[in-house]
Amino acid sequence: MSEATDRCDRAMRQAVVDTLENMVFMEVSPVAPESTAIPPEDAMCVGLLIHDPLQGELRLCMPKKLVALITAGVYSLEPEELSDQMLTDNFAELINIIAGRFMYELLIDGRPFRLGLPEPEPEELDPSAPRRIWAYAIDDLSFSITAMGQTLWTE
Amino acid sequence: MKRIVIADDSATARMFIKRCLEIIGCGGAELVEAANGKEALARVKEAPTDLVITDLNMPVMDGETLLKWINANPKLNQIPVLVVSSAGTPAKEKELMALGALAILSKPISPPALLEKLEPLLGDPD
Repeated sequence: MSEATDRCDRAMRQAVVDTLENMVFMEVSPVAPESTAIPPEDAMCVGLLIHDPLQGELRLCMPKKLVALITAGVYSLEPEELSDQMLTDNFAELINIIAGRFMYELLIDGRPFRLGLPEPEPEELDPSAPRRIWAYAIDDLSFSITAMGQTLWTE
Repeated sequence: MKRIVIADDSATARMFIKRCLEIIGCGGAELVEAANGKEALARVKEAPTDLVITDLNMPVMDGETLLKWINANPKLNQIPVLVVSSAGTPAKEKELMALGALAILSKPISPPALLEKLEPLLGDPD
């Protein structure tokens, strides 16, 4: 594995762990990407473009049950008390924070970066495009983050 | 009573900031929410405001533009602006401080980090 790829992997792991542990005190463990197949009807996905200084896109996919648990933690409510709007909004904020922390960790020279706005229910990814996929679990619920845009892990 | 305008397009983020403000003793302040920079500017103009807390990346008007508008207006440019963003880097912080920002905090913020920035500013928090 190249140094750039290794740095990208470490940056994502740090971003995910920091975000979820600081927001909701949830412990996150890396798992094999093959173990995160989420039935489409149970999944929530959100995308976010990275505009500068590198170009790419991040996709976060989680089981709705996990989104509800995280959102309940943020709002200090029971999962059944949450509205769909709260789930969608918190999920969007989650990828926003993860993406920010990821870029902060990735750009070791501290350059400014620019992100797009979270996009709920993004279109299907081009299956032929190069990507990196990371998977993590909170308790027995796993989720994945996919990065598109090779410069993220080659520069 | 202090008046604080919180600008973020995420309702979750606004709620999180409000909760942090309550924890550090600013719960008695009037907390006014705005979903983008344009809305925040309107809220700031409608009544004397002690502090603006803004995200950077928002639709309609972003936080950096809001900061420029506030600092370009002699009636508003004394209002401290704290930037809370997921896109904070040392270079960005320097850039925003040059535009008049009080400080920049990275998301997710914590009550101690917020307190550190606001304590000297707000005095009696309520």
